[in-house]
Amino acid sequence: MSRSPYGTADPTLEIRDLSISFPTPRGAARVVDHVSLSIRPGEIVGVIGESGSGKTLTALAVLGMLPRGARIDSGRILLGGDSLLDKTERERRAIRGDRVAYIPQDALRSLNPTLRVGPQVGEPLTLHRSTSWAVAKRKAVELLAAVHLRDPARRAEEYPHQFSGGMQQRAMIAMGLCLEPQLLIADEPTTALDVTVQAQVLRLVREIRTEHRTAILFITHDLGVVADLCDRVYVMYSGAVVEEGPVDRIFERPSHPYTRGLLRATPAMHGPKEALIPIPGQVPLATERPKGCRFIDRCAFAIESCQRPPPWVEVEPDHKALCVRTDETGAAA
Amino acid sequence: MSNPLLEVCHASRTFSTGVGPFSRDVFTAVDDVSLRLEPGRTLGVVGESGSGKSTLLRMILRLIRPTSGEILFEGRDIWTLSGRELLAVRRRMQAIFQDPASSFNPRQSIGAILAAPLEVHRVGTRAERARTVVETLELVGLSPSYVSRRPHQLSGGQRQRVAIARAIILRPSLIVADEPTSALDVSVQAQILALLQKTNRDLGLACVFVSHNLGVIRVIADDVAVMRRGKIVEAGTVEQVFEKPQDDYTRALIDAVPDPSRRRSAVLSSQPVAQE
Repeated sequence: MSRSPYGTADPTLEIRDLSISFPTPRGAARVVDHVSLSIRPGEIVGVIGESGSGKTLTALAVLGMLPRGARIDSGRILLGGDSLLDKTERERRAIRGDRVAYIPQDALRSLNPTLRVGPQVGEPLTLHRSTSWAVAKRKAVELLAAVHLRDPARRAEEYPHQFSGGMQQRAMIAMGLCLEPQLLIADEPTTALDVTVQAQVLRLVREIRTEHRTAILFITHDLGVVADLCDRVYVMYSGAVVEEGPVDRIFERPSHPYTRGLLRATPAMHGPKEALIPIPGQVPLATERPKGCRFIDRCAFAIESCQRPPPWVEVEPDHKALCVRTDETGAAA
Repeated sequence: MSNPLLEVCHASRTFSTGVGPFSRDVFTAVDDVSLRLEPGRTLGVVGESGSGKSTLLRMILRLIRPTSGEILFEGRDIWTLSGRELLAVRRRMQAIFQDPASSFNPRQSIGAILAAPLEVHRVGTRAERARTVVETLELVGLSPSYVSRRPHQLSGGQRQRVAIARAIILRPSLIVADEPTSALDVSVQAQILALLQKTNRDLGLACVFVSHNLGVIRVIADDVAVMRRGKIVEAGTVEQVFEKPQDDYTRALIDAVPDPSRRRSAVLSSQPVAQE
């Protein structure tokens, strides 16, 4: 059962068949390979994957912030129905920070060390709304209060280095919320934080969803965070989405062997103490992927027909896996 | 109770935070910590940033001198040793660090990196050392061809395998590991944890394993010490501490970990195990 109460609204973000590649001496490296995903208003959607899965590049494509050299080979990105890839750089700049906000992993490196926090948090107002600095500063104090910083007026006058890691991340979130964006993209925002601080930041993300009905794209490598926070999840492996569905269903009935592998490789905090079962081998390079299923070399379920590209199989309503063996993977109880 | 391999007795360490040599401002990083580790057991040390776990570890490795208290290895205070005796202790105590990229000389081959401890301690002839290097590589699941590679040609997981090989090549009795899997992806982390468990068991090694990840500690450790603000707030076996935490902070820490196992299903228990 999906926890999202907004099941029928038009999606805020829709990515259709997005492919991105980088030129390399050994040919084009397809780092994002026919990725489709959508997020509705008020929904928290997780994208989970390990390094090199393409999750961050997918997010950067939405923002129009792909690194130099990256080429979009195909696909469409629709934000509230507007096709982002058809827009000019100037138009995209107007959207960024206004309709889409981005919260990066490393907050300290993203804040300007020479400016006080208050003006930085309020800056989007002056850029996108031509608000005066005085008003923007007042708004910044309100925003810092909204992300539960104690004594926000004093904090606004401080510099980033005077903040702890969790406070810096909350300041980034405050800045992101400044213009009440439709879409919030958070790229591993809690990875560098201690668990107790992470719990506070996750609580804040949930609050934002409830209060503003913001659509939230949450990128993480941590299955625990997905279980805790998200309504739906896309599992990415080696550039492609390999499984998608409501979080409850993915954990109840993981159907792609990679998803199952990830779950069994993650240390559990409760229940019987089991040995972890590693996924053998490693992620193939983007230039050296197997022809058929990209997980074939590491898969315990692989059979002859996995040599061909796998189909999408609907395991149950809203829950799909890119695997021919879902009868085996999902059904065995 | 058998004799402990490692015993930390009322160890404290303060750092001066004031300006100038006569300042009395101090920060107590480790505050009256005592613990003991028996041969062959793994002790997990958990704590959040700033809890003093790395300082404790460095005192055990004889890299930072305790302000007060003692570190006993096989019954002898390591800070009173010097010369040949100290060299003998160093040989029996090895370390694995978080970032395998920065703990190797990038210009050396893996073979040279692994042979270095043998050379320092004058073990065997050149030919014997070369053989030991290859045998140790196989122990950590790497083929002999890795001897000629350099660190940058390896993935994070492979580098951490080399770090483990370097730590065990002298057949120590204690491994000290500081967040050895924090920089790795979960699937690789599971590989490295399984390897550490295997080498610890096969070679009878004791291990001090520092991590901020409670799930990892639960998997790898027999005993656990929870640190906060320089003190051990709770210690016991993994079962005791994780099932029935006595201290409020331990409980808060455990509750703060987002946990997929609450949702995990029985489907997973039926999977065939893939061969490596």
